[in-house]
Amino acid sequence: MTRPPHDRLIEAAVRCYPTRWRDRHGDEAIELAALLVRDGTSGVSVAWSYLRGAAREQLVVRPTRRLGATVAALLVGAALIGLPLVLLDSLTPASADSSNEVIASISNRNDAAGQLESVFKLHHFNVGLEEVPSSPSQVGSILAVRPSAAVAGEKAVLREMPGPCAGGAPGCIDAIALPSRYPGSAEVLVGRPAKAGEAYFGSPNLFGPGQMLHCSGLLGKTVSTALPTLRGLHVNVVWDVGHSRRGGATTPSGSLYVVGGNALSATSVSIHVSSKTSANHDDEISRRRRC
Amino acid sequence: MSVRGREPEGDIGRAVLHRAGEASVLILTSLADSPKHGYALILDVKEFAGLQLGPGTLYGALDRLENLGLIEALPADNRRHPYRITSAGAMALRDHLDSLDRVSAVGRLRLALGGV
Repeated sequence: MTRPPHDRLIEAAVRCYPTRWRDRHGDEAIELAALLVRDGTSGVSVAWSYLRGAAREQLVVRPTRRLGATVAALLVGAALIGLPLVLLDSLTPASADSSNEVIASISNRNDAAGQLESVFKLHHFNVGLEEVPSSPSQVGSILAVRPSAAVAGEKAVLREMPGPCAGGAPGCIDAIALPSRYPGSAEVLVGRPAKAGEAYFGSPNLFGPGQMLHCSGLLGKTVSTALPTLRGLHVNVVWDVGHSRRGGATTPSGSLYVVGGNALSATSVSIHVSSKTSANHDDEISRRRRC
Repeated sequence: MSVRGREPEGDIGRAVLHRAGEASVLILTSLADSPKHGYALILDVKEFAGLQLGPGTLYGALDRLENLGLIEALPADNRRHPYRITSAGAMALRDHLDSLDRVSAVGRLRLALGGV
């Protein structure tokens, strides 16, 4: 007996879901589709609904890494079904994943602490939240997770999940996974906009993704080469000569090399200089590949 | 540094449900009287709301609600997984419906005052 074409379409759409989802819902989803089609629902619309659901699911699991694959699956699916691309709407990442874990994730940077706090309270986790001043790219991201020192091994069970920073650069933490019956306590620090002159929490790497001098090409250059760019930033520069901060506000010798730096606040940075270019130069070369 | 102020308990469920979306409200409403599996949920929502939930939307919302602790899965009946609302889910739904009541009342009053 020949199977109707929409059967294959629906099965193809269900295969777009992650394995974990298919293990949980796959058989029921196929049966449900058959019942809906029997009741008069179009097989194409059922397949399309699954395809959109699969796209959302993939985006939730790893918003950045799987975006390409998700979009590709959607395009293939849309082409198969023959629907116009203008219908590719509402791909909104939601929260949470996995059966034995609770994933507290941030989807709205303006309400990051509120979103995490809602989930922690709902599950009665003894996890506190603190908002700390951060650089613009880290606003709305998790900057630190501090489990209670009394319980050994807690850090290992609180899994930080990487995601994009504000502005889209990689390298931030936008979710945390906890065992669904997490008995310990912890404190989660979330970035908020710093006020004028307020020191950034943790003094992030000035050359890291999303930071002021990421991809600036200044690492490994001499001070004299870097000075015009640094002056153009209109920030106070604290010179750190050989990691001793001997230089302070005084510009060091122009022949020294820039080997690192930290963002101290919106108006202040520290620049590390040395007589050797150091291994950080190699680090910068690898970072530039993501520029 | 600043520590966030505590929200009243009722606001938590409302905020969670607001973020979870309209499908989640429909599903919680359907489960409020008895456990149901996917197909029964779709039929029930269609009957009381006049809306047909897409199956992809349904499973996405079920996973979200379960992960948020607002519903829980019961042992599978053959291929079908029934779900039931939890006490946290009932509280969240009640808070959400209360807020809708307030919006509804204000909306009707203003329509009447405006003579629309």
